[in-house]
Amino acid sequence: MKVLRPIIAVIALIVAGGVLGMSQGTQMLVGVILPSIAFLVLIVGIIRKVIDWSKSPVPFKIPTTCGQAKSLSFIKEDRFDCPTSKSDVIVRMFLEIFLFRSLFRNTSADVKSGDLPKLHYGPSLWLWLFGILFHYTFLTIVFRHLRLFTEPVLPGLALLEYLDGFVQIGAPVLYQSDLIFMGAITALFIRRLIMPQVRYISLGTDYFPLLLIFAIGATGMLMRHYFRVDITAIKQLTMGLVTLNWANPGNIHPVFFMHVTLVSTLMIYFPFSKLMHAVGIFFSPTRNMANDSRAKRHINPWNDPNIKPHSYAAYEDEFRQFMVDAEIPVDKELPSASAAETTEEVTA
Amino acid sequence: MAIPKVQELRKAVATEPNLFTGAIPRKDWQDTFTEFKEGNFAYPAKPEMVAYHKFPNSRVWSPDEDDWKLPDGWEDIILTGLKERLGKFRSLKLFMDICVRCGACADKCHFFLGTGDPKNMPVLRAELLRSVYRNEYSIGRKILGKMQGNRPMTVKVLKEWFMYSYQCTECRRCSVFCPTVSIPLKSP
Ligand code: SF4
Ligand code: SF4
Repeated sequence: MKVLRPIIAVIALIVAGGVLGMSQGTQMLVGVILPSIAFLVLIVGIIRKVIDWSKSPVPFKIPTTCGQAKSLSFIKEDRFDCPTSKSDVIVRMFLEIFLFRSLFRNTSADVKSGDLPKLHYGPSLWLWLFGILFHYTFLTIVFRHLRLFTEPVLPGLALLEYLDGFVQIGAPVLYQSDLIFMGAITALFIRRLIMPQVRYISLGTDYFPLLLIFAIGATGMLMRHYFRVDITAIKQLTMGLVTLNWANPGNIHPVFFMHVTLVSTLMIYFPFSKLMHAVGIFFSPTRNMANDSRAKRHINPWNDPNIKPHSYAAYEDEFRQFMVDAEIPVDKELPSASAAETTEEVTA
Repeated sequence: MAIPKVQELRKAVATEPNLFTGAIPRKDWQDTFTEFKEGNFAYPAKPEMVAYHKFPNSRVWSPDEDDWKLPDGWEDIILTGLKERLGKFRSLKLFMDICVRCGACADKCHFFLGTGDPKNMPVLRAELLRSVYRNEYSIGRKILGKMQGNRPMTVKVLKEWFMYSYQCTECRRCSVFCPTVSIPLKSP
């Protein structure tokens, strides 16, 4: 089973974090040194990858056209599905990145059985829904964590926390984003397991981040609602990370170190994996180019100078005999028999 | 082979065992290999035509023979070719890296809908190449090799590429639905 290894890996990480988080000496290792290194790896890794991508040129205009291109004035143009101007491209990218537009378009094909089975296409929005919920709640949670890394706390965070805890269940207040986040990631995981097509294409490296992120969420929620860890001690540690005055107040529950180990793993894993789609999407030539190849010349940066243009006339000169034999109309007829003779005489 | 009627085809799509209709292949795609049978492959060009276009290794061969008469060191030729193309096309590099295997493109390919062959799902079509790419370039390949589903370049993999590259019309319908827009449009 492809899902087995990732499960073992995540459990091993949890155990390692917990064990190392139990004694004062090793707490420094997992609580301070590991996340600092992980953060560096994340930043450097992303920058390296982006530089690597930028090094390759985009020789062809390859925007995916999903609608009518700009054409004659009486033909209705589909501005955002086939953008011809920069500003329309920006709108398209915005819709793609913030609203997951391509996923929203998702359809599913199935066979309606009956006397005569029929292919049937219908909208299918589950993936879009869980995907967008997951990404936005993740973002909210990351923002909420900024409370631990800023002093005084960033303005606006209090409002965010208030809105997020709007339903006012429990003390400390249960954040809705946490619940939705856990629900969405579980749904995405189950989807991978039960949909035959997706299960078939899934690799261990697809399950691993899902499980890792689930474990991060779970340890985080346990910390807040079950172990009630000492938040002031944690803030002392996290502020130490930001200001480089590394400190370990020493009375933090091991579950915190599990959480930190998992998050660090995610940060280290990120730049080397498919998670780079978060950055890569900005670079996607199929979405970020304008479909203006009829209006503007797009030059291939590495055109091979050895490949010479081959005009139609030259082509016909080369293949005229074949074309005539195959009864393909030609612009210039074959030289007639008598004309051929005269040329021969001249050359002779 | 008799040409099937539309009605028969419709039935076949719905009842013959394939992924699309619910019968899941028992083996992983990495362990199933292509069979070439009269009628299921594209014929190679004649040697004169290959030579006319100044393409190397013109020869008489057929995909359904075991020996494809590949030139010596063909693995290197392919891997250097891949490297060169990664340097030439940002699209290829990017799309090798960022597909999330969400499966949104899976049932969008008409070749998949028509054949039910899982390797005709655009994501798997790309994965045939991507597994070799990862085997060469992914940083964690030593530790994650198995988990990443990497494969070395072998004749079997090459035969798979031949089969499934020619079963793509590059219509780009898959690309319309892809959230990270990761369809490799040009295979080497
Ligand atoms: S839709 Fe795009 S990201 Fe999803 S599996 Fe297909 S190619 Fe990969
Ligand atoms: S480009 Fe068209 S034929 Fe090729 S994989 Fe995508 S949907 Fe299928």
